[in-house]
Amino acid sequence: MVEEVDMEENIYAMLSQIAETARTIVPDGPVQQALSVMAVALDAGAALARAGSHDPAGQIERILSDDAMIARARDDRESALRAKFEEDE
Amino acid sequence: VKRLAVGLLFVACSSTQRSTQAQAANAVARASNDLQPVLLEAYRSENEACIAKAQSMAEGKACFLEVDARFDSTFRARRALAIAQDAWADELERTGGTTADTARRLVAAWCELARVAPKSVAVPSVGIRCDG
Repeated sequence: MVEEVDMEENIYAMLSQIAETARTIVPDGPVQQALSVMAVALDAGAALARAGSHDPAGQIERILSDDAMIARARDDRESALRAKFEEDE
Repeated sequence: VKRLAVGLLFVACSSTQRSTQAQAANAVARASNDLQPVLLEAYRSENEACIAKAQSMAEGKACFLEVDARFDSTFRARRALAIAQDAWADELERTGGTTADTARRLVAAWCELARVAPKSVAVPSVGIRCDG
């Protein structure tokens, strides 16, 4: 297991270096676009490998919606404001 | 360039590619989800400050609008990031890989969120470079 992580880290380090070098020498274009895929995956992947993270089994986590919480915060602020001035009256 | 091509081919063929990208997609979702309570707390706190200093209902409401103007771009950026990350995760789950367009949209959405987030909200690092 340790060996596996070390090997992955070496791969990440090698490819990160290639990506970093290419980022500086290749202008915008298909290669640069392909590199953006690599850069995202490698940088985050390397950090996760160092932290001992593993391949997520099953579905990939998704980003939660803020909408319900924003709506609740807006309702709460309206009520609090009304309460403040109704009390004053 | 030849070494770069070998590197790209290696990534395309690597058995860890799906795993690495799935970890990265999870890292983005977790970082954004961790940001949610912090962002909403900052939003609530600014609204509470409006209520505390308001001398009238109208003044309070005007202050709420200013808070909304400051936070709306961040909420919009989180929505856009959720759409981009969904597309990335869907593609990974469906095909085991990612297209450059999907990754570029994800990077752009993340960097927009990092750019517009209020100063009081620290956006965590997920290894995405936004400097160009």
